Amino acid sequence: MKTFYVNARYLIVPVMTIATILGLFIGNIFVWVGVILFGLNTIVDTLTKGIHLRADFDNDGKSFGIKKLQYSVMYFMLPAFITLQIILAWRLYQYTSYIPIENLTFLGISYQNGITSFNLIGSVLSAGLWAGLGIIYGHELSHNRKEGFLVSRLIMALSGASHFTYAHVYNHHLDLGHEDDPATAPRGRNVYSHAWLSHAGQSQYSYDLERSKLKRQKKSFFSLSNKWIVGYLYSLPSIFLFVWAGGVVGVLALIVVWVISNFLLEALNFMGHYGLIREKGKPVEHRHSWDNDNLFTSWFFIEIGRQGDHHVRGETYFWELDDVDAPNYGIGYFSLFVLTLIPVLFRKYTQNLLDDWDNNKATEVERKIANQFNNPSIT
Amino acid sequence: MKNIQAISIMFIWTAISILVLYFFDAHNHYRQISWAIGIAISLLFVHMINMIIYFNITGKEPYKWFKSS
Repeated sequence: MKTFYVNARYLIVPVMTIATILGLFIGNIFVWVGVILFGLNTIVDTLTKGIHLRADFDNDGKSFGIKKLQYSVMYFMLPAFITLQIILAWRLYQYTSYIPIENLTFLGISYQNGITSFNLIGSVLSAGLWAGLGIIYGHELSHNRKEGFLVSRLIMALSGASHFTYAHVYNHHLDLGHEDDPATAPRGRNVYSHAWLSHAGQSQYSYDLERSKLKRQKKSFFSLSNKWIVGYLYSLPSIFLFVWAGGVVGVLALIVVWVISNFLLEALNFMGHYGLIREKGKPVEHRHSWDNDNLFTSWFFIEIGRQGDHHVRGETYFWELDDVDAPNYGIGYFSLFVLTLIPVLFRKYTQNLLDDWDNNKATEVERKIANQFNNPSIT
Repeated sequence: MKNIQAISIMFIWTAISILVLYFFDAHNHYRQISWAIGIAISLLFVHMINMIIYFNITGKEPYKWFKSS
């Protein structure tokens, strides 16, 4: 029973992604299911902010997580997200082809053929939000050295961010808490500028890595050995699909989906490390990441909120990550995400937490760097 | 400053690319598979060049925490 409970609790996103796909298929007002679920999740996350659980182990210290099951679910998310894009493209095709609105039946399921402009907006927003939330699987699989790494690249490519897989493991995890890591947000930066800077910075890391590697190998930059180029080529089927299905409207829809999904990804990076500092060359410790580990966030985001433990034990399976007394926001990702959207509120909320970090967790050198942020010349 | 410069050039490059696609009447032929593939490759190329423009103009400057660092 315990094994079932531990494994089933991580199925929230797959189930809700399927619900979003079904909503897009059924049409009419149901295309908004993805947006509504996002809103409901924010409420549930806020209501459960006070419930924090530890990882579950049996008496011998073994985890209840079933590796094969959890990996199957993560791999299943790739075709699920592809289906999400295909369904959205189908709706774009109907819209741009002026298909008349009528109720039809397919395999016993009644659905609305054709789509209004209002519901097309709902379809794009639903797809964008769930493509963005699905990125948590791209993150988790990026830490796998086998076929999972490729699946991660393909999942991220659906959002035009295949470079993430390399940059996350070789840049973010190694340079965390330092300006060499574009995914770490310094104090004073807002989530909007961070979304672009982190996205571009991680792509630049992958670009520079490949350029110097190919130069060393005396190969041309324009080669299929260039993983930066290949990463973008993985996104080509998505671009083709949306161009063919919707022309200009399709391209605009894809841009919205990519912007939303990348914004959510970078918001997670923003929340995970905002304002925390590490002296270059010193080891990454639990205090260099923020934990968001209330019950709903932990289950929904497959424990990605246990950043403190994850950054010290990067190859640990998510179901084994635990509370390690890292700095903790005290609330979940959905609640905190709402605060990040209003930078003044976010800074006010984090000020006391950062003061506490400076006084009780930072080293002398880290505290000196933190003090520099009082200087107005900060970017 | 470099950020604004880079984004301005990215904007001009994107606008020119869209104009070229427009003059080729791409917006009227996108349902033909060969055209859709060509447009998709063009858009991906435009995006990748935009990223390279940004990298080359701004360098590491946008990621510096302090102006002196």
